[in-house]
Amino acid sequence: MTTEGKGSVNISGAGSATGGVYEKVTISGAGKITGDLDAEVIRIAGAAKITGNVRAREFSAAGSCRVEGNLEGAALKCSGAAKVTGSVKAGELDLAGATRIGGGVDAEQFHCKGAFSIGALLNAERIEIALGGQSAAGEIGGSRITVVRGRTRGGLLDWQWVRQRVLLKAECIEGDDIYLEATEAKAVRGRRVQIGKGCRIQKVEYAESLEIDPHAAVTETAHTGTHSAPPVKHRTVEPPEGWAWSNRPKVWRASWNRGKGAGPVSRAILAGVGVLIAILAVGLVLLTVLPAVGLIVAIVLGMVIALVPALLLGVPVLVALALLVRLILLPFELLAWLVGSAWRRLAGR
Amino acid sequence: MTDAQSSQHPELLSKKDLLRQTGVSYGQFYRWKRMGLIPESWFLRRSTFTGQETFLPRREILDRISRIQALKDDYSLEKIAEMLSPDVVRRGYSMEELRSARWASSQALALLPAQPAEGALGFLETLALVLIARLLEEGGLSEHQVRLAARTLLDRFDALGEPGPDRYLTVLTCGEQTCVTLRTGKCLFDRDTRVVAEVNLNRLIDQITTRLGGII
Repeated sequence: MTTEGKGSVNISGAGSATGGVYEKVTISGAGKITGDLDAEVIRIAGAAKITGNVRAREFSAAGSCRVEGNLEGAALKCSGAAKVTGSVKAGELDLAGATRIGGGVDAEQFHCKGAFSIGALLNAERIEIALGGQSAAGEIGGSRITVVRGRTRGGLLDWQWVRQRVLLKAECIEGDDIYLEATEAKAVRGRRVQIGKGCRIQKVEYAESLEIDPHAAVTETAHTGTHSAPPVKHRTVEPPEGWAWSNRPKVWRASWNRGKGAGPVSRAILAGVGVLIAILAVGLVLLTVLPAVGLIVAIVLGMVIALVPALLLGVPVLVALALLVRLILLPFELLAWLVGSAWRRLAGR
Repeated sequence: MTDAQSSQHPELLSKKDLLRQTGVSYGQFYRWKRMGLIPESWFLRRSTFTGQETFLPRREILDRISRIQALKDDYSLEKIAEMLSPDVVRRGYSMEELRSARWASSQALALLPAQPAEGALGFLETLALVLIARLLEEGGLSEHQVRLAARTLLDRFDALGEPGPDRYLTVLTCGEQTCVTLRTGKCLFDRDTRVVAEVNLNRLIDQITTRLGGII
């Protein structure tokens, strides 16, 4: 490839181009680029697929973007669904939505709003993550690491029975200053460590200080400094400055592990629906044979079955939903009773 | 725990113990790794009874860390990465550069087996010249012995193989006889043999790249 006379590529609508060295690459709509791509600026809006390594000073992708290779650049921005099969090297990496990276990440700044999956090591000077779904990384290492639960947007997808669990899973997390929420890890090692709400950590090693929230589970702690061990503080852990709940970015729920991360509630609901259908079937049989008793039994049992999980979990939406299901079913049951008694009368004649 | 592990793999050092020993913070360590100051191939994942842990070759990593710590106040991390990268070491140097570093004295140049072409020296010739300067500085060697050491280095250095483990040049005497060895790793001699001088060639190369720069 020559660097002289660098041209530009502009795809709008649908199109494809071959890789190479360019000044600017713009894709709006659907585009495909085959081969390695090297450009000053790459902007993608819509859907793009690049089969090769990508290098750019400035890279931004909104919508869906797939890079089959490594991605490297000074300022990289991905929002929506992004997938990189190789590794990512960046000065500043900004992720929003759901991102999947097969290899590792090397960056000075790593910011993420939403869900991500990183196959190997996430290594960055500053790591800031506002979780919006199930995320995972092989290992995480850096200077300052902050993981908070993002504020999720409302709407249908945010209902308890639909949404994914908000959780970050990593083998081990190492840094100087660490603040974690909703994180599951085998080991956390650092100088000043704060373990916040919703964490499950097997072993925490700290040099200077360690705080553990009452709503976090830590199996083992160890002090690694040369001085005598400062005591572990068990108290409500306050997020670092600028990360108060009201300041947090709103995130969409998203996940790369669809299904696997379904919350316990949605599983309970599925089971509940199954039982409900079975009860209904039994109720219908009873109704035809012993109408009066059958009607009462079916209504009471159906009510109980539909309400039990909702009441146990205490979620207002679920209670309302269970009652709604009950109300919808009632006329059918009455109809079944009428048909049943009419059939009996006919049979009696 | 540390003892149990180190007795199991004496040549390896866990990342945790390394940081504790050297006082390097996690932030620094990951920064250095990101900049390529610590080669990816040095990271070995082994399972221990506490779970997975990362180990590094003990001697190489301790050496590397102490070099980074010595250089980091005077040079940027990018510059250090260039100095440490083994593939940029082999460059030639001009005579002025060598004079300014006080390696190209007329005495040292005279002892070089082959006189250099006008104005510049190749990498290996430079290394030989710096070796001569070092041996002269240390003293206690005859001109003949210094010349022999330089010739051995020029002839056999490439046969030592890839940079990695420390490489040594040793000048020995046994009675009237002088001999020169090039080696990696440990070497023991018989009682009658006397070690006159021993030079760590990796350190010497480091000195050259640090003082003169390693970029072509």
